[in-house]
Amino acid sequence: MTVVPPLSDRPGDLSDLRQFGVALTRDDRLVPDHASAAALVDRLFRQAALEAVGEGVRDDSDRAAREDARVRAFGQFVRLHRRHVRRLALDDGEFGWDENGESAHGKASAGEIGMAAAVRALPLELREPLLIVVLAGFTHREAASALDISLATLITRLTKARERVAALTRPLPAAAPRAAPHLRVVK
Amino acid sequence: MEAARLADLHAYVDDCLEPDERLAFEQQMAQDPALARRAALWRAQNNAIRTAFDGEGARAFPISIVRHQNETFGRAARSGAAGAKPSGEQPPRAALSAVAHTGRPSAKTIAPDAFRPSLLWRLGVATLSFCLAWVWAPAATVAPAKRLGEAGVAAFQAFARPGVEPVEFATSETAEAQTWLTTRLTHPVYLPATPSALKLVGARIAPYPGAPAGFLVYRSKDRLVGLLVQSLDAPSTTAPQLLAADGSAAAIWTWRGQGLALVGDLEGAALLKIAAEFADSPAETAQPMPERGR
Repeated sequence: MTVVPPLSDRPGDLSDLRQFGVALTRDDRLVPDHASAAALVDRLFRQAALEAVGEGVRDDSDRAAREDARVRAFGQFVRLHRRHVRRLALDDGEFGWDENGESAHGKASAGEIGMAAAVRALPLELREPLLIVVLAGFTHREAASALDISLATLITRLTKARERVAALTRPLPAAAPRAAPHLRVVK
Repeated sequence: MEAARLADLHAYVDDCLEPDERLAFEQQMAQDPALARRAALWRAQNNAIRTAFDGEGARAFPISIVRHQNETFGRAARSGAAGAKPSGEQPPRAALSAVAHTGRPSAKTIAPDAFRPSLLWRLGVATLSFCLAWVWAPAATVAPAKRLGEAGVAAFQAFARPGVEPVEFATSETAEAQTWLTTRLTHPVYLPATPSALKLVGARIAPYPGAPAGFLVYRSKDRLVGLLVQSLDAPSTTAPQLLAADGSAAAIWTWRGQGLALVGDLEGAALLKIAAEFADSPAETAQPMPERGR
């Protein structure tokens, strides 16, 4: 009988893929709540599993193979998600829809939103590298490989993502007190 | 900031530097307060992002779902890209931009609420749904017998042949196979007890339209028999029926919300007899959905 070691003992497991998946798939336009994001992540992974039948890396594979498999798993998830987003846009008849467009929050002014909302507000092409490096703990080389981009592009996108998140979450300077209350009683 | 230094800053923040490189970068930061401030800001940002998205990893995915090395899509165009030195060039983004550049107005220019249905529309749909639910009670799901049979036959032909490892998880215990399938398929799988005439060889994942299915391989004397198990949307329990699928016979029945297809190199009558024994046998102890945490 094949004995699968506990998850914590296995290098390169996918325990953080769900966390990454839910964080990546949530946005303010197509997947507005946590439950929808979790369902979408499960569905994308069932798709991934279907494509992997009979070709998978076994649970008892060596460390290097498992780490490589982890990169490919994340890459596969990212590609399925991109495909899903494009299909959704086409189904909605938005032929010119830009999957990397900013959401309404993305256009929010600095200091108005929290960290999770700031990340969700990023365009997909900036959200992907930031989350795969920070949440999944990939090295830059691995992240570039999983996202199918060059290392230079990864660095460029990470810079943009971090600067944009910093701008969105920066506390607002103390505003001057208003001369008159901005709420009024309506009878 | 120059590209190499920027790459080092990101690498430092993301713990991608070797110890000696790290030391060298920290010396640079000691002489450049702006660089140190930026590193501290980005590190704090990393921690805040981890905290903001904490708690999503409770249910993990098994690593064995990963595609094999010789996968086809997307890889060929990126030879050596990951190891390249940062140079500022952008790779072709054919896949991502194929949809975006068609000359039509982008969704960015349209108000975010433009596609949301109006309150009146929502109320109308809700009322209609309520009326339909009131006057029409849907029958139990019709089991896709043909699809189950075809998937079972295809799995048997693919995996139960000479030179191919028939199972991914070798076990003679039904309960162990049930636990493994539940973990792999990320939803509860229930298996009937093994009839006395059969011996379980093990389990594997098999293709099925829309979602993967469980596939068990049994040995009956000197022959192999396969049992495909797929979750369905609330089918009523039915007795085994013989069905011709792709030139072979398959015994199909439903049980505990699942469709089952028994296939093998046996006569139809023999398959049906074994299927009846499966259908009459008690279930293995139900396995709770395993939570594979971090």
